[in-house]
Amino acid sequence: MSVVEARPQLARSRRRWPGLLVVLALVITTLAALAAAFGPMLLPNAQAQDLMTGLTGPGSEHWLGTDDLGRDVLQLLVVGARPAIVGAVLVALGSMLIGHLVGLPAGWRGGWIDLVAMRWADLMFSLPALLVAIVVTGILGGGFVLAIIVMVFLFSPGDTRVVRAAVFEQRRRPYVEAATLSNLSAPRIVLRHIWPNIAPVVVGNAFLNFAFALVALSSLSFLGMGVEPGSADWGRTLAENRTYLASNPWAATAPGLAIILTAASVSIVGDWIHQRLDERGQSR
Amino acid sequence: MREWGRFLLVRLAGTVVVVLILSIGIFSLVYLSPGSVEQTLLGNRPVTDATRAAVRAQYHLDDPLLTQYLRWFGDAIRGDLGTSIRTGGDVVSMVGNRLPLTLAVTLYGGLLAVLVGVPLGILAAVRRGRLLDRLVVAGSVAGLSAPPFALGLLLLMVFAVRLDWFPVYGSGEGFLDSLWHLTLPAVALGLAGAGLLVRFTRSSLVRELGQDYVTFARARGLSDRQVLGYAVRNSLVPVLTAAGLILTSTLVATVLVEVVFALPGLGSLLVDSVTFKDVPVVQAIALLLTVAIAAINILVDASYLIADPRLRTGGRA
Amino acid sequence: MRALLEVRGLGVTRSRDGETVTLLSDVDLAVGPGESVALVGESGSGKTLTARSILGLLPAGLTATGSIIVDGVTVDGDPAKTKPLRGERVALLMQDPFTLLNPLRRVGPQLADALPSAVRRNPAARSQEVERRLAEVGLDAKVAGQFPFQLSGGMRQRVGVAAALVRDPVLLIADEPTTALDVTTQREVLRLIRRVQADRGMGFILITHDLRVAFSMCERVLVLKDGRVVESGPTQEIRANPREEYTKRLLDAEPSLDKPLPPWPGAAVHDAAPALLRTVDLSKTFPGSASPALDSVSITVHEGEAVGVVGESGSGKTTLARCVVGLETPTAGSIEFAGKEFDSWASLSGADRRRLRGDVQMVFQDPYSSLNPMRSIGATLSEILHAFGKPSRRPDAEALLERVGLPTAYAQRRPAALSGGQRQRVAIARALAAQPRLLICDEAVSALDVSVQAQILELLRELRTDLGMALLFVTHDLAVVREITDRLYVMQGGRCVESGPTDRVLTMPEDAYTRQLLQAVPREDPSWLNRRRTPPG
Repeated sequence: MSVVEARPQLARSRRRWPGLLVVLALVITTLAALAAAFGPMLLPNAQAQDLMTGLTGPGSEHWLGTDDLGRDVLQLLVVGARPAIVGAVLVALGSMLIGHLVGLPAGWRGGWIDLVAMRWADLMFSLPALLVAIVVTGILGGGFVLAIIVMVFLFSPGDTRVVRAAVFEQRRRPYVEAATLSNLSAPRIVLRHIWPNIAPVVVGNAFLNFAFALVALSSLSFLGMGVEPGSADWGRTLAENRTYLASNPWAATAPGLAIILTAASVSIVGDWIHQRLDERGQSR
Repeated sequence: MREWGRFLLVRLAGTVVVVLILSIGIFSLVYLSPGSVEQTLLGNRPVTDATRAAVRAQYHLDDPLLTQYLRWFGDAIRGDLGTSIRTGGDVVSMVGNRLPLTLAVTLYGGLLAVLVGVPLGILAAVRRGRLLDRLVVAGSVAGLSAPPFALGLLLLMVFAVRLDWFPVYGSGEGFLDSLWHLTLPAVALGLAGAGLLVRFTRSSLVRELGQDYVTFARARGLSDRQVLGYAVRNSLVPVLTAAGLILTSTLVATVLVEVVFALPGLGSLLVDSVTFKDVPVVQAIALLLTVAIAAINILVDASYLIADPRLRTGGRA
Repeated sequence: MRALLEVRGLGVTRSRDGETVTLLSDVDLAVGPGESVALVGESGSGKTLTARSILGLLPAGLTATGSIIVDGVTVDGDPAKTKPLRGERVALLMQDPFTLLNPLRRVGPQLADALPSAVRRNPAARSQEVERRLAEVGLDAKVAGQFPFQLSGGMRQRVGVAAALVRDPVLLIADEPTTALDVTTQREVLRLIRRVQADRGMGFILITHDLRVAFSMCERVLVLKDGRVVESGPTQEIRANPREEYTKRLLDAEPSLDKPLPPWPGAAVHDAAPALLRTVDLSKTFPGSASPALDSVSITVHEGEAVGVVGESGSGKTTLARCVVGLETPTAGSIEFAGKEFDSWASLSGADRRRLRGDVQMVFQDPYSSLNPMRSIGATLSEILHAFGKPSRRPDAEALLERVGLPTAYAQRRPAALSGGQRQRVAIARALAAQPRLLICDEAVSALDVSVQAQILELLRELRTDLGMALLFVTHDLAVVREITDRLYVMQGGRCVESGPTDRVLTMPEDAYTRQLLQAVPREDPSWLNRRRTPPG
C-alpha cells in the first residue's frame, strides 16, 4: 500500500560506450576466439620441432622465444587456444543446457520436481568440480572428452540453481500471473515471457562458468590429465616448460598469462553483457 | 530456539546422507578403474593366478558388493583405509603425515584471503565509482579468474627467481622458516579467495549502503563510524554464505599450488596417487575431503543462523 | 519568535554528462517552534527532495542551491555543515517503518547508539534512558530487547519516532510517515506524532501526498507540483478557498467520505440481475500457517454489478480475489461462476477452463511489475487478443489502447516509457482484451497518485457503463470504494464481518470493526484525529 514514488530513470542518458577495461576485455576475448577458430589453420607448422634452437629467449625471429623442443612459443600460444577454449565453451553451454532442462520446470512448477532437483543440486554443489575431475579422469584414464563430461555434470547444479531461482522469482510477478490468466501455454509463458527477463542472469552466469571451466580444464592439463603430452594446450605447455624458468621464462609464463587474461576478460565481458541485457528492461 | 535446532539437525542428517552417497562413489573407484580389479590392486606386481587369488582373498572380492562396501566403510570409520599399492605403506599414516602441511597452507592462504579481500571489498564499496573502486574490482576479477598454478608460477618467477626474496621450493623447518617458505604458496592460494571476497563484500555492502536504515541512521545523527558499522555488520551476513565456497575452492587450489611449489602435502600426494592409480590412497584423500567439505558447509549454515537473528527466531523480514 | 527553519529560494539540480536538470526551484519555507507545516504533492513534486536538502542528505549527483538556515545556523544544503545538526537540531522520520530500522540490531541498542557517549557507556543510565524514550512513544520497555522484525509496522514506526528524537531535535521532518501503514495504524501514529510535537514544542514538517492528512495535522500547507510551490498559506484558507487550479483539482481528486458523489447512470440496484459469481464458504489456509487466510467467505456478484471488498492487510481480501480468478487454490468451499460450479480452477477440465478463462480478468496493484518489461505494449496486447481467438493485428491492439484513453503510438513503446497511471491503463486494456464479464481490481489504484487515481476510477466507471461488465473491487480505502461500488463486503482476519449496499455500510455501519475503519479514514477536519476510538465489540 505504498505510494509509488517516481522511480529514478536508470542512467538512461548515460553514454552507452563501454569503459576502457571492457574494451580491453572485448579485444582479448575476440583475439582468443579468433585464435581458437583459425589458429591451427593459419599456423600449420606451429608444432614443428627444431631441437637445435631449443629454449632460446625472446628475439626477432621468435618473439617469445622457443620451448625445449624448439617450437615457437607465440605460435604455440595461438594454436593452443583451441583446446583450451573449445573445452570451456562446451562446458559452459552443456551445463547451461542442463541447467535449463532442470531449472525451468523446477522453478515454474515447484512441488516434487523442485524438491528433487534442489536436493540433487545440493548434493552435486558440495563437490569441488576440479577435484572430482582429477580423480575421475585420472583413475578412469579417460581423456579430454571425459573431463568435459565430468565438468558439465558438476557445473550444471550451479546453473540449475540460478535458473530455478530466477524463474521462481519471476513466477510470482503480476505480469506472469496476468499471462497465466490469458490462456497462454506454460512453455510459451516460460520461454517467451519469463526467459527474456532472466536472460541477463543466466547468460552472465554462463560467461562466468566459461572462465571457471577454462581455469579448471587448464589445471587438469597442467597436471598431465585430459590432453595428450606434447600437445599445444596452454596448461600443458606451461607444465612442460616450468622447469626451464631460468633459460626461457616466457615459455612457461606466456601460456599462464594467456589463461589469466582470457579468463579475466571473459568474466569482464560477461559482467558487461549482464549489465547491458539488464538495462534493456529499462529501455523504452 | 527449538526451530533452528531442528533446522540444524535436518541439515546434519542431510549431510550424513550426502557423505554416505559420495562414499559409495568413492568405494566404487576400485571397480571404475580400467582393467580388472585384481590388476588395479596389484599395481606393478605381476598378475599370476597365485597373486590374483591372494588379492581376491585379501580384499574379500568374492563377497557381495554390498558386504564389501560395508566392510570398507566400517574399516574407514575405524581409521583403517588399507595399504598403498605404490609404497605398500599404511594409507592413514601416509595421509596423516601429509595433512599438517596442507592444513597450514590452506589456513595461511584463507587468512590472507580474508585479510585482503574483506577490507578491499569494504573500501571499494565506500569509494564506489571512483578510480580506487575500479582498480580493486579489476584486480579482483583477475584474481578470481587466475588459475592458482599459473599465479604460483608467476609469483615464483618474479619473487623467487628474479628478486630472490623467497625460496623456490620446499616447506622449511621451524615456524618462521616455514612461514617464509609457505608465503608464496599461500599468496597464490589466497588471491583467488580474496577476489571472491572482494566481489561478495563489495556488492553486499553497496546494497546495504543504499538501504533506508542507513539514511535514517545518518538522519538521526549517528557518526560516520557508527553508520558504516551498521552497514558492514549487516553486509557480512551474505558474505558468510560465500565462505563455504571460498574454503572449498581454496582446498581445491591447494592441490595445484602444492604441485607448483613441490610441497609434500595432501594435494601432491593425491596427484601422484592418481597418476599411479594408487586407488586406496585416492579413496582415503577423497573421503577426507568429502567429510571436510561437508563439515565446512554445516559450520557455514550454523554461523549464518548466529549472524542473522531473523532466521534464528523463525521471524520474517 | 525566531524561526527554527528558514528556507529561501531552495533549488535542486542534477547534473550528469554536462547536462543540468532542475528538479526543484524557488522553495521558500519557514517553521517556528511548535509550528507545523505540511508539504503536499504528488510523486515527482519535489517534496522529498526539499526534506533531503534541509538535512544535507541528497542522493549523489544532486546539488542544492539557495539559503537554508536551521535554528540560526546557515547550512545552505552543505552536507558538511548540516552533519553536526542532524538528529541534534533537525531529524528526519522516513516513510517505510519496515526498512528504516537496522534489521539486525535490537531496538534498545539501536536507540542508544544516538545517545551521548557518556550515557551510552553507563549501562544503568542507558537502559533507563531507552526505557524513557520508548515510554514517550507509548511502547513497553521490553521492546528494547526485541529485533525490528518482531514488531508490527505501527510499533516499528513508533520506534522510528523515538529514534529520530533521541537527541531532542527542535525540528522534526516526517516524510510520508504513515503511507506504508494500515488506516487504523495510520491514525494512531499520526496522533502520536502530534502529541509528541505538542509536548516538546517542536517545529514540524509533514510531507504527504494526502491533503486530508495535511489539513488535519498542520496549520500551514505548501502545495508542490513539478518542483515548484504552487500555493501556500494557512490550512483553513486553502481548504475553504484554494486559489490555484492545481490545488482545486487535487482537492477534487481526493476521495473522501464527506463529499457528495456525482450521480451516475450505472448506479442501479443489481439484485434483480442474475448472479455471475457466487462463492460458498470459500476458505484458504496457506501451508505452514496456523490460521486460515480466508475463512468461510461467501460473496455474490451479479451481472453488471460493482462490488467492493474492503479490509486492512491480512484481512484476506486479496486471497479471496486470487482464489476467484484461479491464482490460488482454495482449501475448502466452492465457486460458482458464469453458471458453472467448481471447487477451484485447478479442478476444471481444460476445455471448461479455457471457456471460462476469458470471462474473468484481473488488474494488479503494482503498475511497475504487472507488465513484461521486455515486450512492447503492442506485442503484449496482440498476444492476449490472439490467445483469446480475437482479431489480433496491430489496429486491434491500437483500438484497445484507445479504449483506455492512450495514444495508439504507445503500442511501439516498452513499459519503462510509461508512467504508473499509463501502465495501469495498459493493464486494464490487457484485461479488456478477453472481453471479460467480471473484472477484478486488486488494489488497482492504491499505488497511484490521487489525480491519476481519480482518472483511473473514472475510466473504470466508464468502461463498466459501456461494456456492462461486473466489477470486483478489492481495496483498503473506504473512500475509494465509495466512489465506484454498489455493494460492499468488509473483511477482517479472513472473515467477512459486514456486507450491504455501499451507502448503507458507510453511513450506518453495523459492525464495530467497520465503524473503527470508518473512523480511521482521514478527514480534512482535524477532529477525526481527536475523536475517541470506539472500543471494539
